[in-house]
Amino acid sequence: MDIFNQLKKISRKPEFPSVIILITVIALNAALQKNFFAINVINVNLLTFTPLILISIGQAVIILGGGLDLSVGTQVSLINVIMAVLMKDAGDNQAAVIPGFLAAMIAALGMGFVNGFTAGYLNLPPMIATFATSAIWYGLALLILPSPGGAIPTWLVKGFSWKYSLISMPLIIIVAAYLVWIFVRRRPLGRYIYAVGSNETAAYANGVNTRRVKLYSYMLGSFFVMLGGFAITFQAASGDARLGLSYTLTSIAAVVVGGIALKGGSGNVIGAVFGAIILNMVINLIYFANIPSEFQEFTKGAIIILALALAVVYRRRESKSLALS
Amino acid sequence: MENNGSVILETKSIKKAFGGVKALVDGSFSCKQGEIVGLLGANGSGKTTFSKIIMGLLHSDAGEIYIDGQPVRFRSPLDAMRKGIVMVHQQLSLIPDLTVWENINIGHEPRTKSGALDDDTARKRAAEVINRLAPGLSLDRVVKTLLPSEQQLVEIAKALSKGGKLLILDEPTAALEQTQVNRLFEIMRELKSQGTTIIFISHRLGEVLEICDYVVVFRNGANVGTVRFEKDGRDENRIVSLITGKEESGQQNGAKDRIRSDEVSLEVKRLSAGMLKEISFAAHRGEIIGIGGLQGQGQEDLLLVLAGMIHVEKGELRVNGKPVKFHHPADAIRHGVVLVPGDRQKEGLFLNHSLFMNVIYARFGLRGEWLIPFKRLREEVKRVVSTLSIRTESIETEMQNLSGGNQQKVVVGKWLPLNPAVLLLSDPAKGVDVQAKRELYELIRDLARRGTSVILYASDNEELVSHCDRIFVLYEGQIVEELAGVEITEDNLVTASLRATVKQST
Repeated sequence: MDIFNQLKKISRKPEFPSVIILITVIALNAALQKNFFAINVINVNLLTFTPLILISIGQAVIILGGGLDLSVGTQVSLINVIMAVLMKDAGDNQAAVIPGFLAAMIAALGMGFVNGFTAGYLNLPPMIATFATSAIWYGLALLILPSPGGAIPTWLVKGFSWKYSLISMPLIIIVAAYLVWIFVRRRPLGRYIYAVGSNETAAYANGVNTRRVKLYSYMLGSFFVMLGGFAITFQAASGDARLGLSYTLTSIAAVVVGGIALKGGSGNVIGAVFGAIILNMVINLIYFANIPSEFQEFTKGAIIILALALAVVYRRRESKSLALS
Repeated sequence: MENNGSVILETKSIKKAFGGVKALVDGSFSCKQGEIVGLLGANGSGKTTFSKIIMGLLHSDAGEIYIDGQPVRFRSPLDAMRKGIVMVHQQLSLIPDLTVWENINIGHEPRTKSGALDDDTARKRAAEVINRLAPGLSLDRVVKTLLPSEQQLVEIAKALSKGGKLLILDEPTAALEQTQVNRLFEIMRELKSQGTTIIFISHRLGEVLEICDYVVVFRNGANVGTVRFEKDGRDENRIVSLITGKEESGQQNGAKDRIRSDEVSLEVKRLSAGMLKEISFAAHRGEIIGIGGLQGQGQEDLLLVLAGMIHVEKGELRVNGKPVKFHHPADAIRHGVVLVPGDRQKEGLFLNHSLFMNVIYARFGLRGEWLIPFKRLREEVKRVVSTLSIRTESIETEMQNLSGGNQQKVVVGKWLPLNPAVLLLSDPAKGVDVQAKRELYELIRDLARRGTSVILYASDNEELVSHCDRIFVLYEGQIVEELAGVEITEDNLVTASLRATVKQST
């Protein structure tokens, strides 16, 4: 009985369907790829999944707060080219990479500030406002690095792929990022992000400084996006203004597959992590299933729709049955 | 006894207009420490606007506010809270996705020394008020899953836990049952003895007479008078005439002046859906049928099934003798079965569209029009506005700029041009003032006289008793008793509702 209640409680969590989808996708993947559970395959997979996971965490924080960020992709691009340009000549001198990191960090928080300011203080609709800022970040990235180039010191690239058995640098960064979110959730800001996303007017009436909460949610989101930008940069080892473009919509899909409501206020950030892994695995799956290349995009789209439908339909049913009970 | 406390709040000629509609013309008011003041007035008289301005949620166009004799200017609710002003909002200010205890603490969360959330203290604080106000309500429920009455209690609990020196309660009892109201009043009296000032806004005169020291009446956005109970006595008629601006004539029961027709317009046979079980009845042309019983026994579900919003699982529906199946609300509308939903803001209106559009949306369920005949419809809508004496600048005014009572008239009035066979009403007078309520029921009776069958659910028993030809008492989704003719009294209705629970539990 107790176990039954526990199970029931778990099944009510908004990220529950994403866990089911994740298990299914892993099972399929393992069936198609013989050494799927080998340590170095796991590490390689995690390495490639890391950027989307981190960017999706950022997108999740923003969406939970009732916002949306269509500029995460070009934020990644700008961070990438800044680092590739500033670290180009660093070589083995460890101190020489500091300006690159600092500049990337300032850029990330600055971009989060601008997005948060337009959404929170100017009250512009985030879908259009961040669409506009995404063009600005892309434009800046192209100004800094018009054609692919720049470089990242080899020792940094190697350091990023450091691993000891199952403990790898990407895993450490993901766990650290998640702990940052847990820390925020333990503070009033964390609860206010949910409150503003759930019902902004009510939050305001309760004395919550809704503008500032929105500003902070975008800045915090951009911080996670920046970590994603680091991950991509260390993998690519060079700069390219187009590098981040595909991540914008994929991160939103990951968030929704992870059981977070697009209208904000409900869901858990861990769901976005599951969502990101699912979407990456789908691409693996298509590759290992030997689907002809001209069918790959089609299949990917169909599978994502399926996952999305499962997650969304489940949430709808849950909220209905809760309302009746 | 005259209260000698110091003046806590004083306002001088506050003014506020929304898009040309003047909500507040002369908001002048004052109250002293430890008083319970009733703030009364028809819908649209400016009570809610007035309290939102005091709370810092709206900014006045003109006028002054003094707290403890000091002039203040609130830019946000936070400013008002810092001065010890706390409000229970009529439209509730709860965060739907957070739990009961999180909601009670929102905006003033206890923290640990390091600045993190101190959830243990927060839960304790929430448990204290909930145990007094709503014993048995779990702190961990997510607010959007609660019943309306439970949500209302959480909203009140939240305000109480903030412990301000001036508490504004805007219609706190509209969704509550008698025992819950009693518990609230007990707490209010205790707060009063501790020196808290309370402004109590309500349409229920009986409650105001019971709990308040005196009442202030607003009409058309201005303070039109004060009735001090010690000096002027608890004179109900005097208050009502202040509210309406007319002399009060006695209450009339409209049910008696109609003759029941033999024609049946709606027949329900052994209908089951959701929590409803084996419901059977026939509604005659021109009959007003009441749906009564304790709260949440399936009354609202029954209306939703008849309106095509919940699907029938078993059973049969006939409209004017023809068997029908509703797959969609549009099917119901085409057969002349129309619903006035309970939550007008959410389900009944498009607040940011014009009054004109809101009235003509009603006909979009009908088939057969290629182009919308705007010119003809404008005339039609103007007729509806004048028939119902809806107060508005023009028919192009946005819905949200109309007062609550006028909004409610639109929700009902939009069906008038369609001459519905069956009108379903879900608590139509909830939060509507005395005068608007009377006009509303006049309108409903008028429709019945012209042959519409009316099925009415009301949370207020008095409304059912004074307007219905027959009343069905529901319990756990079944009709357990039917009252008709002389049996229809408030006593009988209450007894029947309660008796059902006894019968079922033995």
